[in-house]
Amino acid sequence: MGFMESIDLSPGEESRIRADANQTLVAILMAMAAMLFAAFTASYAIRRTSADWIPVPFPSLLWLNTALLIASSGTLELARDRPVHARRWLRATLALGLAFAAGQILAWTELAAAGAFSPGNPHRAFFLLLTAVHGAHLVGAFLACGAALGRSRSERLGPCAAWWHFVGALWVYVVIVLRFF
Amino acid sequence: MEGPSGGLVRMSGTHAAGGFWTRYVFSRDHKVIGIQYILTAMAMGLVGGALAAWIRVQLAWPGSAGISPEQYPSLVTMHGTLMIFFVVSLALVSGLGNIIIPLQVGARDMAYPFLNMLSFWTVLPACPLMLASFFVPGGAAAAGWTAYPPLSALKGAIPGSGWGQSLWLLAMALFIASFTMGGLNFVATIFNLRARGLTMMRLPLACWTYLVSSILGLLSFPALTAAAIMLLLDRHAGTSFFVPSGVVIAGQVQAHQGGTPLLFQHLFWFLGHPEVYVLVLPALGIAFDVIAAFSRRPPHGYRITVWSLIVVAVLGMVVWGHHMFTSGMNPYLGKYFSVVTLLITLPFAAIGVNLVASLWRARLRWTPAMLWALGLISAVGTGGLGGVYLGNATADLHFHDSYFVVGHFHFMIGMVTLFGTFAGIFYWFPKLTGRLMNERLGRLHFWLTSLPMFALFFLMHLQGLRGMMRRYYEFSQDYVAPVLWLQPVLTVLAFVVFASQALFLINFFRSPFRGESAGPNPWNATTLEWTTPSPAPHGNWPDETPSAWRGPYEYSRNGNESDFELQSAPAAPGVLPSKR
Repeated sequence: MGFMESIDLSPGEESRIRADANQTLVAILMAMAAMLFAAFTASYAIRRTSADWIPVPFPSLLWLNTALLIASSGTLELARDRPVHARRWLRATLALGLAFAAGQILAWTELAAAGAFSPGNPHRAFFLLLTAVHGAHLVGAFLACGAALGRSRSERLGPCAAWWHFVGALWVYVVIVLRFF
Repeated sequence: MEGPSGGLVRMSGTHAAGGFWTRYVFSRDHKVIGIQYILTAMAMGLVGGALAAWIRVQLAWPGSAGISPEQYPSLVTMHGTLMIFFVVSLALVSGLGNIIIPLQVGARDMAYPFLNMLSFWTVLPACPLMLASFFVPGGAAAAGWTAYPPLSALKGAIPGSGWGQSLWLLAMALFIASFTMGGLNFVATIFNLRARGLTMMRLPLACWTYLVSSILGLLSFPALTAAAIMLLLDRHAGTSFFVPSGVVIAGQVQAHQGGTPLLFQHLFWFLGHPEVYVLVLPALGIAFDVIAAFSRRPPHGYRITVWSLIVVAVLGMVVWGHHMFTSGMNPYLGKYFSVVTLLITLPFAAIGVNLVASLWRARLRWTPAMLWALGLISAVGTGGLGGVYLGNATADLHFHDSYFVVGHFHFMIGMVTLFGTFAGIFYWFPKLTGRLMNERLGRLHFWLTSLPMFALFFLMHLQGLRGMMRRYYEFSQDYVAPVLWLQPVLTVLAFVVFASQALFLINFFRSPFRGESAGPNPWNATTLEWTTPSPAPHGNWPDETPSAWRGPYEYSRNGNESDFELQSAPAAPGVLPSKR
């Protein structure tokens, strides 16, 4: 007996279940990322009390990067609001995201050149650690939204948009920790 | 066969079509993947068990096992690591979870079959990596399964701190990635792929425990991930997150400064303690399902059990400090960790009472699965009592790192999880193979494993009370002399346990061919997996997937002709099951 005869879900039902499962997946991934950064934050809070903690000057380039990432969240919402122009706004989102990533790499190399992981400077180590781990999460956002662009299904942008905004919010959080604490 | 759309094909199990390789090796079928996990865990279990036996020889007859004092910590470390992550986690959680969940929720497969396959093929290479560390310069990791720095952070600290620790970290990274993928699949499957009418409060308790345990694992593993990343940077990039100033190795003062090893301990136990519940809860869930089927009664207090599981999980995330009472923490903090730890006894006692009350006035069927489930109740009760002493900060100052602790955690994550795994394998074996395992051999295996194990780990408590410390190569202190005569006794018991696993292996590998053939529902059980033929085909149901019309445990209802009602049996003609 072939499997097609046994299928008991209509295609509509099937894709609704698939979308629900994707939402569950993204929700858990967000909770996990939040736990990861909570663990880093706790470590940061403990480590900064030691005598060798010397705050690294905050690269001003990062303010521009922050603005770019926030703007990309805006364009992504435009993509979801306007299905007709969804692909155009999605491309703009990815471009802004890439610009952010480029800026991050620039700031990174600058810091790394100054002796990235020298034992004597834990704040700089945290700086690089947090930006790098955040970058890894951004890669996930690129993959999800890039796949959405390839499939040109703007109505399926929900989970990818949720992750993109989350990565943006995570970055703002990282900036607050690194700059003000 | 191609389906109309990719999504439809994936969810409906069409992937089953294909040759030997896609069917049995790179399979996306949750049942095949479950068996792959169990076989992997068995192989690793043999190594882990052999290590235990080897350690016991050294403890009983010091010097006769051919282990040097430098090697001994490696053996202890690897025994713990293999058993916790590569045996219990893989067999009970990844293995049985994969087999049970889609069948019990009435789904054709996991929500993400490809991710499921990837999860297995991620952890498989971790096994040879972990084992290879015995053969690298310096030998296997020796910093304990807890991998505390500075031993794990400084490559020259002890012989196992070099290559061995690097391989350990690499293998653990693969394990965490695999376990995460598996957990995501479990949660998405249980939340989103349930059959029509299968509301959360109609979910079998085994599924509930896998759900709670998966969420707990997913939320606590990131802390270990963070710790592992920082540990790697300390090892390889010269940072100093965990390494304090002034560590001297071979006369050389290390360049690291300012780090704190206690930070690692906090992060580790933030995972480490919940991990206990990640492993223990599914064993309890399996016990509930098995006991219901063989006592022919619904488990006592279904809702209380569900809520207790959730409370255990929540509390389990905020008690990690009780592993660190002797680390010099503020007494107020110690008091907090004591109080929340002892609070866990409340939901746990509720679960235990429900397990016992489920047996009240029941006519029990003494199948091997039932024996394991009953043994599990005993192990949870006895092991749990030890936890009450250890959770008390003042008492723990005395018990810490003694054999009292070793006995306690072997009761919980050794016996409870193993008993649950055996109960589950005996119970669901016919659904996978279409045949029953041999009952006589099963019972013999049960008695020859459970009784010596119980004696072994119970007596370890007594040794601990006399101050015998774990991870010691040899004991010469006067104060442990009164309990030293126990050492050879315990070693013999350990050998009996190890040897009796041969009975299980024979039963497991012979029964698929020689076992008595089982119908679709050999135990007259009620949950959805028993509505499909045995062995369950690819895609799980040959025709339509079932709907749930009632709770998971309708046994011995008054007025019914048979003493059970399948979950899929319609309530009345023409009535549709409620929403999914």
